[in-house]
Amino acid sequence: MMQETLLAFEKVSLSYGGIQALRNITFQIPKGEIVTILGANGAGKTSCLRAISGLVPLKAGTVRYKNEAISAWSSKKTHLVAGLGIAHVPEGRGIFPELSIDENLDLGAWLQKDPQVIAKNRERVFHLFPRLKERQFQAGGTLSGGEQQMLAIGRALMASPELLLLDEPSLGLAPQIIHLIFKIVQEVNASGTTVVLVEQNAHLALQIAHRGIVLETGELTLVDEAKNLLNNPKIREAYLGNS
Amino acid sequence: MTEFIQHIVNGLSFGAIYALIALGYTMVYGILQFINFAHGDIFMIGAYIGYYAGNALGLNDHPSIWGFFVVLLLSMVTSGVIGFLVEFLAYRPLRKAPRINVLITAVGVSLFFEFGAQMLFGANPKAFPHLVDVSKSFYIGGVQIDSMELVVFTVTILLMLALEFVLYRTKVGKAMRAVSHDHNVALLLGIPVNMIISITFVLGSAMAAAAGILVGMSYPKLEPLMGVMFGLKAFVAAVFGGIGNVRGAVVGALIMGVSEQLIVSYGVPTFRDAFAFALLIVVLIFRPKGLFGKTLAEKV
Ligand SMILES: Nc1ncnc2c1ncn2[C@@H]1O[C@H](COP(=O)(O)OP(=O)(O)OP(=O)(O)O)[C@@H](O)[C@H]1O
Ligand SMILES: [Mg+2]
Repeated sequence: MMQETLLAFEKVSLSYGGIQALRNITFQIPKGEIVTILGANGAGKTSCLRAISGLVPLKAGTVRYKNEAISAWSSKKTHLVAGLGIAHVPEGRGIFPELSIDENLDLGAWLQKDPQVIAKNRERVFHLFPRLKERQFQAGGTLSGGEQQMLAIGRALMASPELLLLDEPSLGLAPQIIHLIFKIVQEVNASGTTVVLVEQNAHLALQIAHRGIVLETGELTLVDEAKNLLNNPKIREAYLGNS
Repeated sequence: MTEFIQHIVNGLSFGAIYALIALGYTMVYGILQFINFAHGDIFMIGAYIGYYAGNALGLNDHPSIWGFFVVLLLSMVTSGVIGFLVEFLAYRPLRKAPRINVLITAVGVSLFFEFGAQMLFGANPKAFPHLVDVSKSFYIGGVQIDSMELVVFTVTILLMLALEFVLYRTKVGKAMRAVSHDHNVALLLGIPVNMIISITFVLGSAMAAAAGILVGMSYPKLEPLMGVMFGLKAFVAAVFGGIGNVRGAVVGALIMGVSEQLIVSYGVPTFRDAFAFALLIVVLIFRPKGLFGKTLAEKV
């Protein structure tokens, strides 16, 4: 069965001043999948997501979304990327601490004009994360780390994204919270949203992902189905503690 | 006691005007983390627009409250456009440049306005037209409130309520607060950050222009450098209240206005202008984040 490609990297290179973060990266994200990007600190995982959202311009290569070469304009008109149906939950969650949970969610729906859709999405977010509803009028900054991650994901879902980019959602969270969040990522994916999940926690990520991409110091070293990666001795040694 | 309350009332009316200017400093700082040194000059330009508009409408001979509102609105809108252009032409191209470059540019823009105004309007002081009849005074328990003070209080309170509404009740206001926290995250949500920055400059400039009109009416004398001292004091008020904090700027400005009035009345009148500088030094030494400021480290 041929799968439709939603997003593709074609020979993408990216650098910050003199530091090259991505070298000649090529991969495809099939529509409807959860694809996890794995790699050690500084491997270039976050840079991949920034290349998609246009937060950093590419040095070379192309990022294609639904066959459109969005990297041609995305770094100059970054705010238009969200309008394509791409929601990026950044490293460190990026919630607005002085704004209430409600206001954070409202901003997630910035591009959504239909009040009915907004109301429906808000209900969905509160259904997925009942804790956010309890704290609706509290400032985002008063939330615990796990709740902030829920808010960040919830805010992204307010845009009804087709492609959800998650940058290390498990970072610094207790195991139960991580399980809860990963379960919800699976649910969101089951409802039709393609997910790119950047993780250092390879074991967990590969359990929910369909496919994994492994980066090492800016280079792509492996792309394979998640179940193969889980059994790959090299991966087991490097990322899964080889137990 | 009545006398003391009288000074407080007079001080508050000064403070209210400082507050209108201070809001622009603090909002721009909140969103771009830089001090827009040209802001005081927008205040001056706002006053001059009021001068020309008031005379053109013949209000000096026929003062009217509606005429006043027309002049006020005209000045606020025009100054808002000028504020937009300053940001668009001078600051936006430097968005990714080091902050010091932007600061130096702001000083340049300020000098441009100050000398431009001297060429355009003349260096000699001009008498501001009477827009409304403010000859009457009211008494509340022995405390005298001039019509002019009443105008100042009414206009500032209305404008602050309007700003409060925009910031806390509208989508654009939420976006302004979001952008002042993190540009990149705002971009990821689809918020047009540059447009939000433009709106911030427009709002801040319009408020400063309103202050310009009120100052023009209160001390009917305009000069091209009038924005320097007012701008400076409003800036100190904003720092005192916690730069970046909107409500803090208002409180800081009111305290500043009242303190000045008390110094003039009970202390040494010649120290009036020195007070702002003394306050700035004390705040910077003992509480750099101001009364209500977040720790600045968070932003850096
Ligand atoms: N804003 C930046 N300025 C300069 N260099 C950067 C910047 N962001 C990342 N880098 C560098 O680019 C390389 C890739 O970084 P990136 O953040 O993409 O890695 P990562 O895989 O997400 O790492 P982590 O697991 O630590 O989040 C690293 O060498 C990093 O130091
Ligand atoms: Mg990262």
